[in-house]
Amino acid sequence: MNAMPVEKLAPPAPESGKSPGSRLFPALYQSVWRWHFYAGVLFAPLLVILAFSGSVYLFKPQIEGYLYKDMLSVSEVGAASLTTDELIAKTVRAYPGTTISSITLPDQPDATIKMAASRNGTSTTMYADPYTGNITGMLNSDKTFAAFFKKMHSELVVGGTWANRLVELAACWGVILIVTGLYLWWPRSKSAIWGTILPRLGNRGSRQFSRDLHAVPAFWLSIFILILIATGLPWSGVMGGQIDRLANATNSNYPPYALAFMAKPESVTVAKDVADDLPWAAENIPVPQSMAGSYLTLGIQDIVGIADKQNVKLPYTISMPRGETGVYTISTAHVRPGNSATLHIDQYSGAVLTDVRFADYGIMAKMITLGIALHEGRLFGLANQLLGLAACMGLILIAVSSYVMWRKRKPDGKLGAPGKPKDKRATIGVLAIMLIFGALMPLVGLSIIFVLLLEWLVIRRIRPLKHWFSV
Amino acid sequence: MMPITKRNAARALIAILLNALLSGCTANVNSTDERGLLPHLTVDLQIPEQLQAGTEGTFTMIVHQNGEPFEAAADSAAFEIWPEGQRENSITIPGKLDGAGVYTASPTLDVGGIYVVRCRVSSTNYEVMPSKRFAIGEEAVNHLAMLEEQASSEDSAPDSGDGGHHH
Repeated sequence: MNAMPVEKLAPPAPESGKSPGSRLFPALYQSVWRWHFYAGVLFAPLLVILAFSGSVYLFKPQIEGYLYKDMLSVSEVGAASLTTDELIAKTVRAYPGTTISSITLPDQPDATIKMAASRNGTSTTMYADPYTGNITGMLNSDKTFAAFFKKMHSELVVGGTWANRLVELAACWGVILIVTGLYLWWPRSKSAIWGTILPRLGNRGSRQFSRDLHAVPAFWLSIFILILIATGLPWSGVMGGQIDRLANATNSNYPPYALAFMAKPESVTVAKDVADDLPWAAENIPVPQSMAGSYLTLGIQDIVGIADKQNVKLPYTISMPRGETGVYTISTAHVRPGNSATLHIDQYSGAVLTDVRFADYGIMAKMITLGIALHEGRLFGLANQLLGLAACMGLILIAVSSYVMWRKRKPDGKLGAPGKPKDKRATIGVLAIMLIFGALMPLVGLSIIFVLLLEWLVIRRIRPLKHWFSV
Repeated sequence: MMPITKRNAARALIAILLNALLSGCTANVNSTDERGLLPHLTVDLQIPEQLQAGTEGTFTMIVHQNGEPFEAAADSAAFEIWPEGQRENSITIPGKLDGAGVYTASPTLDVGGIYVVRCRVSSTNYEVMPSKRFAIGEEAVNHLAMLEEQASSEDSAPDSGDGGHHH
């Protein structure tokens, strides 16, 4: 039963000579394999980078908790903590040139308070001991350990829109690699357990060995990798926009003001007095005996009180109002998304202007939120992280074994791509399917058009290239 | 027994699913106004134009909800006044209903200086507590004028961290 034709990576031969349609099947196999091969050669390196950076970033809480332990936890839990207003006033006094833009209150008594600050123009994260008010440490927000891997994961370290689009392109081609791979993997006979769901490990060093180390884990992990890609796409530039539009069209997106980084309302509950000039300051008029000031911005401790009254669960972040019409924003930083809340508070009166909880999200927004938590490994604790890690490690194994498999087969002076099938119907049919993928994933579509033009305009016209690419 | 056909069941399921999909935006969002804001109170807090130490002055708050005067329950509208920086010395005076949505209080402040007045209106659904500073006496007026100027220049340049803080 080990006599599977996959050993030669040739299409499974039909049982016996039948109708002319049976010739189409090997040609289809050949064509799908060709797409799978080229997509793999081009995008496996990027997918390995994503898997590696992702597997590190998954463990951000543990890694940062260890690296920045002295910063993130207090040495001694005191009896009483400073109010947030006192804490910020003390920080700004001790570090002139600092503006605090938000403060995050933890849910653990031994955790420090995190403040997003601008220090002479540099965005800095400051950690303060709530009992003493001392700063336990500062990090340049762009240079943390996690920030590095996050940038590798989303912008391949170099950064910028192009890198980000390339990541999206690789992820989308990842989907195609899985679909084409599953087609190639699909058991052709009922008894074919070996080489499909169990690897044949007998003959180490054989192509069958590396083929099974490629196809069998890829089958097992395909659904997880698909889920990781699908849950990562809402972040992406092009597909993310499409998902957003779909959610809007089906009325199942995030409601307005659902997230802290969305547009904010304005403080509207008090009529701001027109700032009058003070005539006596400039002219020779006697100073009046009394004077009324304008409305005061509430203290942060008042906002903490409002958050408690509105039943917002710790930990949460309070962002300061920006400008005269700005609002205070309370947003939760929950590891699990069920308690998510974002509230906008009038900075003068404390009126709750908006309050959007997880329950208020549309169905797609809920799924996206849960998906993001799953992607980041925080939906169900350590098990979620380990599952993500397994998928990442598996993906690296799949890429490495495919590389070995290719090296073993690759002839000298040629790329070693599977040749074009003789049957034109297969080539065109598979291309049509690819173009459907391309229509669903615009970047894929663009890249296919680019490759087709490249083949037609350049590769076919230059004999050595034609030979090398087996066009 | 109700005749539950497969078709009916499928229809019911589709109806439930559609309902879930369309009612995605729920409770909190449905009650919002055209700006997307939840119902809230607006307050106009008025400080007497002329105030003198040792003489009564009348503070007024005018409370609206969605353009209509807001009737607060008894004791739920109050003025709290304290000398600036001395919150622990605050006094609270209940607001006296004086027309639709209008509440007043007439405290006597014995010494000059800068004060903060905060009005508080609360009900089961709403709570607001806007406050203003005011000054009594020439010295305090000058000081407050300076503080107000600093505050407004900070607002116009929110990114300059060291604007208003003296060392």
